[in-house]
Amino acid sequence: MLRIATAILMALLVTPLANAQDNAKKDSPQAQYQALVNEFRQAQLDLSTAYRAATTKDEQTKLRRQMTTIGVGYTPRFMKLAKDHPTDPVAFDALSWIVTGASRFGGKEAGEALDLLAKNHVDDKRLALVSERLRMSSLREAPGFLETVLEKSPHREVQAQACYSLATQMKKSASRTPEHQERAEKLFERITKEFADVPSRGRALGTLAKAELFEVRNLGIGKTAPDIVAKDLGGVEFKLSDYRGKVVVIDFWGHW
Amino acid sequence: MYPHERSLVKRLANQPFALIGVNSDKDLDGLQATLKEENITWRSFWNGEKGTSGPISTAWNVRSWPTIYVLDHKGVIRYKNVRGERMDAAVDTLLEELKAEAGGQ
Repeated sequence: MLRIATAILMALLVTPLANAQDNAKKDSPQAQYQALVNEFRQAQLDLSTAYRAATTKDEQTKLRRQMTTIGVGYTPRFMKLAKDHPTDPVAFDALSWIVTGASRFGGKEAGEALDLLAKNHVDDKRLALVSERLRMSSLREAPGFLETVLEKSPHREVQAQACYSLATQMKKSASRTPEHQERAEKLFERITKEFADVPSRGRALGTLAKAELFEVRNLGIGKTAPDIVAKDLGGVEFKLSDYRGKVVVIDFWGHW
Repeated sequence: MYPHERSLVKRLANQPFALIGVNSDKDLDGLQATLKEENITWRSFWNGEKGTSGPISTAWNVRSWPTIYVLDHKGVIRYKNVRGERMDAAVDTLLEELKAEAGGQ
């Protein structure tokens, strides 16, 4: 009898306690972050299910548009989480979610997220990945962020990724801002001297930078195009320079 | 891509202009049918058996397709990756330049 009563009492005691613990866990910044990520993934899944089930072109177009902008509603929520817990490690995750997501579906918070990462997390090793992902980013704030990271990060690997991405950004904007061409060349040179061995997506940054240097030095706006001598699709050899005197569009193409 | 290029080539048929392709298909035989179907009349270099890893695209550091370069009549690179209307405008600008230079001599 006593044993049964104890068991009941234990159950009564344990149950609310466990609930309270669950609630505390559920409210932790880490749990909130995970819940947001899960919710976003589910929304993505739901959309792609709907897309596969769509029967009309109109419906498909509408759903495709929704897919490309799906993250826009989430970025303010990740931002709030990061701002509510600025010193928690989760702030870094939330901010990098905004930054890397922004390249896919916009989001006006991305610039602010970069500023906060540079301000509060410049010592974080994980900035290597964030910097690497900004390589082709069209965010206006990306070059400034990469400058700061390259200058202030204590980690060589982070510096390397920031240097390479900044070089790529400079190369990209060189057609609009000619002095960026020289800057790109200097940064790629720095990669070959200081960071050649650092791996990126399965290749050494030094190898990538060498090809980039050739492009910057020989294939930039204002440079005379290197000649091409090769066979045409019928097996007849010809040269690009055969067309000197004409305006030429070179189109690297493939039918796939 | 093809329709736009076809109309550009057609519009400038009597102008000092050439569209030169660098084709990165591995299967040259399979491509012949495409040339016919799509009415691709402009000349292309073949990037070789390695396809997108071929010698021309490697030398030119091309990593995305299509990649576009626009050269003036002196062979100087003047525009990169302009597409659609921007490609037309770039070509027209350079043709004007060529005419002005020829007229000035």
